[in-house]
Amino acid sequence: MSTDASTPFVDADEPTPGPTAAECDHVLARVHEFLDHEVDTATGDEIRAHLTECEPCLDRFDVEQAVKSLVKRCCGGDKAPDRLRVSIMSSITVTRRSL
Amino acid sequence: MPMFVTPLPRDTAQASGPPVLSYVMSIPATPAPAPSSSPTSAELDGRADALLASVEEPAVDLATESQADRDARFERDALQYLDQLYAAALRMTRNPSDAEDVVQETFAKAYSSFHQFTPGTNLKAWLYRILTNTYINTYRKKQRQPQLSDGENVEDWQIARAASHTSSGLKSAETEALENLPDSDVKDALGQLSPDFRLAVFLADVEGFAYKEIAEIMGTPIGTVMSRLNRGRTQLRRLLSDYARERGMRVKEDTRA
Repeated sequence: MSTDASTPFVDADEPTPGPTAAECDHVLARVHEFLDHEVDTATGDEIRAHLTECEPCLDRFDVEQAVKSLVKRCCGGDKAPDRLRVSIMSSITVTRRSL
Repeated sequence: MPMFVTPLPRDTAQASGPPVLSYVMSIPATPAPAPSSSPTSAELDGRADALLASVEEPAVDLATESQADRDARFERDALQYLDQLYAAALRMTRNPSDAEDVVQETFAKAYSSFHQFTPGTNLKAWLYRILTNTYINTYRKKQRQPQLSDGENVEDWQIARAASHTSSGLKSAETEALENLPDSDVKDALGQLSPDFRLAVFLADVEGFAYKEIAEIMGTPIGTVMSRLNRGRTQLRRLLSDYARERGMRVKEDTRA
């Protein structure tokens, strides 16, 4: 996924030349866990570090976060009709009497 | 326990765990009084306020709570989730009338088993569990609308991996396009997912439940929750991208040059 062009900082003492495809796979496999706050601190730090140097992965995380936010924005917030509330209350009253 | 011959009320006969016997044997008309003096009505009011202030705090003693108090607690604590449960039911059934029926049935069940709910634990998750079971047992069988396949035998991580090979084409332009989609497109796309995927995504993204809670609500292992979220969101993203492309194309076609 990453290319040499996406690894601007190559430390001579550091043998790893930036994100490898294996690292990208590792990070992308956890995109949902990460965005859902289900990874531990160490894994979270690892992922954040990778994202700072890998734009393709960052783009992908952006899209996934956008989907999550869209669902939250668009798919909740419906209001139950008043008649449903009334009907629930009256069915509770009926159940209570029969206890 | 079997020594007692006092017949149990129907609803407590099925109770598991809670101290059923003491509940049956003493049902005080008021909350447990302070040990020494008898409380004035002002003191009682103060206690009621304190109780109201600590919603979902484990201040309730199921063993001594009166039916009237329990009813009041149900109306106060459970009914506040009506709108949220209705929104969830609407996503599940995709039909307002069925959604009302599911919610109605959910609250009826929740009311009759409210004595089994442990105060101080997650009431919303408990209600969602009942809602989910009600939907699965009663309504899902009736629904025959076309949905995307579960693809149950596809390994979830493989999908994430496969998707990563195509993600070089996903620039922030896609993110931007998705963010501009109208609510109706997003609702529609979510509605096309299979029920298990749809519910998992709804519970995670709209309600913000933790994986552990979703697992509890859906009655599945956490691994299954993760798999449903992964696959559900992957499908959702593809659908939304398709919508965005369609809208983009239509805008171009509609341009009167």
